[in-house]
Amino acid sequence: MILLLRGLLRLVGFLALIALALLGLAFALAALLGDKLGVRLYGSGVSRWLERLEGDGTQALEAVIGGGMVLLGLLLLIGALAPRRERRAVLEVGEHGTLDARRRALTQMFTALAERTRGVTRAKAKLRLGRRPRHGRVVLRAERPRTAESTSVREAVRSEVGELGDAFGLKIRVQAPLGRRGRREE
Amino acid sequence: MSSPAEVPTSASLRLRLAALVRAAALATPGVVGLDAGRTGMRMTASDGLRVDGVVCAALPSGHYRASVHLVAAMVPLRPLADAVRARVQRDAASAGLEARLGPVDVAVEDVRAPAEAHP
Repeated sequence: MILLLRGLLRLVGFLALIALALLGLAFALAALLGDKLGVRLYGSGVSRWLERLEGDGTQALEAVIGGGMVLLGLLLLIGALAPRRERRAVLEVGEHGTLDARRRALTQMFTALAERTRGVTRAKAKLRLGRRPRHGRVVLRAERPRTAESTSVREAVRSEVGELGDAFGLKIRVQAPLGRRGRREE
Repeated sequence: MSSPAEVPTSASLRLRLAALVRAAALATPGVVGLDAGRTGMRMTASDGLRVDGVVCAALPSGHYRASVHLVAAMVPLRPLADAVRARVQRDAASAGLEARLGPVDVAVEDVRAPAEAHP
């Protein structure tokens, strides 16, 4: 979902930039070659606005908008150019080296461990890592059949994944809702 | 490139160490493969040669820090990292490079069953 949204954002941003560039080009051509192209800016709203800008006095509104645009541009540049640091789950840091894992890998491990627990028909893990190392939270959704009690499934899953969670300093929350009807028990 | 034998002896020490670390990691049970990342930036390159999945960087002390980015099987990670380090140390000693080998970082990039491994 997030990947889809990112793709959409990039597409919209790209199209907006093209539209802005074409608009700027149109204005520039109209200003330079307006007579030849049969376009007249003189007397138009744009022309009056440009004349007001060139006139005496302060244009506070335009200055604020201009400053804001510069600031926005700088922020966008920082956002685009600043390297994104991926948060990783750190298991150990020592003289002999570090051991860490990518969020996705760890999520897969939690899911696999929960899925092999007796009474679990389907499992899904969501992992959130904190800014500091060895801080984070994992929410495990372990679906169960009607024949299995929620408490016992939660405890079984917790005992299955507890060691891994403790190793990475993660808080574990287990949910054990009823699985969807017809889903095969593994 | 996956084997130290494929790296010429004239290659830089950094590259030779990276190839050694890569081969040692791949030979460790529990390691399904190495991962150079989506953009292929997790690698060590020198003299037109490259070793994917291992980043080898020189330290001020003269040692080289090796970061191995691996795809692991569903195994306990701490013993896996210890096994990788032990194998790297052993192979480095065999190659006479142990004096230049610094810390070995192990980064688990993905978890995969061995059957799912891509060549």
